[in-house]
Amino acid sequence: MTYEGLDRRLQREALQFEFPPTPDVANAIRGRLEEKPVPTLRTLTPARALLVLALATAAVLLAVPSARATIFEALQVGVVRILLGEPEAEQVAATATPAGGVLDAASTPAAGVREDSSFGPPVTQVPQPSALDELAGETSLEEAQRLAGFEIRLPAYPPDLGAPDRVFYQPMGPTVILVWADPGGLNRPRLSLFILGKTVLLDKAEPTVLELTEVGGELAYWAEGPYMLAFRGERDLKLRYLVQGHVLIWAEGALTYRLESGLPLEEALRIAESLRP
Amino acid sequence: MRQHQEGVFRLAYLHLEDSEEAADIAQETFLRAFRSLHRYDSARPMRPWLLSIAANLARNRRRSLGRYGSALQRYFRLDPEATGRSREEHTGLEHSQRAQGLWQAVRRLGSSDRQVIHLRYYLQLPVSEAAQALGVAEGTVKSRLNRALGRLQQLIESDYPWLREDTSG
Repeated sequence: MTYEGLDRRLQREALQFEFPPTPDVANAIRGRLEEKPVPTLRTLTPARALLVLALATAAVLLAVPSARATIFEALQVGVVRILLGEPEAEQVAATATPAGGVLDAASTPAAGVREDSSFGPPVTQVPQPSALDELAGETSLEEAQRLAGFEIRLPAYPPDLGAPDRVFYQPMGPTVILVWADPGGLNRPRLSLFILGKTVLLDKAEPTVLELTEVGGELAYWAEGPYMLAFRGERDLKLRYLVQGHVLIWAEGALTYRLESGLPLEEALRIAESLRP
Repeated sequence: MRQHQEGVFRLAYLHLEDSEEAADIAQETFLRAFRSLHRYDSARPMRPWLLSIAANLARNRRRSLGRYGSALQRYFRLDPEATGRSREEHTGLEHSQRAQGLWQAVRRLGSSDRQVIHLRYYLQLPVSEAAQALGVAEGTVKSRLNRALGRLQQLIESDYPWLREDTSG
């Protein structure tokens, strides 16, 4: 069936749609290309201002020097926010400070993991991963499924991936972390899937590559570059460098997924879209 | 860039219905585009590429706004005096009740239907460019458009009977 009448009418009446005057975008971004200014609340709409305030508050609560970073752009998928600011050389040193107490004091559950990403040269200063053993909450898949309160879905791709080698459950979030180990050893993850509940999770980054993509028709972000992770250990937060790879972040319903690997985007998407109960 | 800024801004406005937000998205779109130029296939037209970036950004912004500020934003929208602006500035639709009625009906469609109608009618993109902007084949655009029109027709029949005339095919 065709809808020629409606087609004609839309063609005609859409022309009458009164758009606001188009601003001079070229002129407006010229300055931003040369210098990235901090937006002021004066320039923001009320909702945008709320978003910026929320981001700024989260940064302060986490109390890392990166809170001083320029917060001028933010993207969000699920509970993961990606703040785009100027890279800061001090970020690595900053993440080495014990921020766990701050997280506790602020009552800002961060799902047991706070990502403080720095996609630049300072990565070489980061202590290499010694083990996943210091990550709290290791359990079995069955137990994590019982505790999580949501359905844990596993990738059906690649077909030989199998069940995760290690499973972690942390009540804040709650968060389930599934790790597929490198053949070289259980402490060396080659693929990890974070399943995050409704907890706010600050994801600060200045990725060298950040792409918009889709997982199952839903908006997703793909970031390339090494990144830092601070895990909640049994007693405090300890910085560990988990994956010198890429991250695909997407949300489905109340859950946010973060797939970390060294795989290219196409493979990561295939894995993400293969999740099955 | 100037030749594309109108289309980018308008698409963002169709998504967000807020000129400030749309302007912000338009700026962001071009910044992203500049930063990703190395990924741009110069053999393809630029407009669909820019529009796809704008659509993704606007969609994400809309979600963020919905999550964090819908209540406040709704307040300001419902009370034009709160922002010192007239209702007309917010909607831009007051001059044509029929066009507004049709627009209201379009707004109630699902995201996929709205997208293809925005591109094809409100931005007047040819099918080929709409296909590139959506990342689908031209045939898919045509079928999606037909389905969207079908659902819009049903909506008009049920909820906007005063728009019925001249819409039967």
